[in-house]
Amino acid sequence: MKQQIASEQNRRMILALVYQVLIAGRKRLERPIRTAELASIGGRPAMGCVLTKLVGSRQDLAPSFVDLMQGRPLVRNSARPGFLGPTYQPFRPDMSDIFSRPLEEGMKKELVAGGAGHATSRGYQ
Amino acid sequence: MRRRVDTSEMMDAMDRFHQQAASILTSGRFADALDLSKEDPQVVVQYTIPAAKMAQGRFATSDEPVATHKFLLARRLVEIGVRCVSISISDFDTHQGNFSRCRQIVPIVDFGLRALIDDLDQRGMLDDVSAVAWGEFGRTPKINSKAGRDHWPRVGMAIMAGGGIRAGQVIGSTDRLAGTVMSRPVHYQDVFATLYDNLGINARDTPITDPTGRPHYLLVRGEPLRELV
Repeated sequence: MKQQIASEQNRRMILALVYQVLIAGRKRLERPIRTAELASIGGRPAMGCVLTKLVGSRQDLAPSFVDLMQGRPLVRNSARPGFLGPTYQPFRPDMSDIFSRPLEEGMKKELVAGGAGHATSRGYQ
Repeated sequence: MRRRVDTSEMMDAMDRFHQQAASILTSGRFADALDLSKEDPQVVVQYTIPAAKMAQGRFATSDEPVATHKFLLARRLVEIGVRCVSISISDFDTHQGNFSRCRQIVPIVDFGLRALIDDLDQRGMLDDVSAVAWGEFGRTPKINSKAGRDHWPRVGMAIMAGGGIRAGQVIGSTDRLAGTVMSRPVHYQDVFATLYDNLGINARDTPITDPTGRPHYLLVRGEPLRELV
């Protein structure tokens, strides 16, 4: 009886090892690289911010990267400088005088929660 | 405290902001670019959906009053030296009423994008400017109870133009419900690799350093789309 229990435990352990090596390992390899993986240092920078870093200059007569996102895209998708830091954040002018796109109440709260780097030049609209 | 300020690059940022703010204010070019009244009226017309079509209710979005002028603004900014511009057209998160809404918002993107590409072409800028139109995911093949389509990260789509690419192709395919990739899967990072390649930057070999001094390549898995470059 004890031998049966022991062999059953061994079988489960071997199966668990096989799963870890063959299946879980494969899943890890195939997992897409996500921004969250560099979250501890601010996340991966958006392409426009990278261009500012690589080819931008302080003497430029225009910002290297201008983000005109409005509405939900402003709150959830607009570009972040990530680990490059605030030096490379996009210039985000407030466009509400040209294109009226008031934020829904829920989005306003989400925008405020995102911090100053997410707001437009006029602040939280 | 001093060290924290330094590592977050706040001081460098303030310095950079002040210098660039001075450049922008003294040149006036940037403010002019944002003023659409300074554009040639004939060009503005190209970017404006005719009133007769608007009256039919075929074009509608919550970016009022003329959402397609965002494309014009983008061109004006690129023209004065901005290297990257992002714009958005609202209301594509169609969790309800997908079909009636798409009949109104898709034509806006179609109209604005065509106007932009034509305009860039007429100005001889098309080979130097890359345009990509996309969302961060596709929509569910299954229609929900509110006639909507929810988020579907397994398949999405993008439209690319300009930048000297070989345009006019359809790359990849899905099953008939747009639910599964059937051929030539393209990753988002492949699109970014193509955009960087258009700018002469090899994203797989170009490092940028984080605040700790550790280098990171711009992309970790993308390759320029061989069909386009």
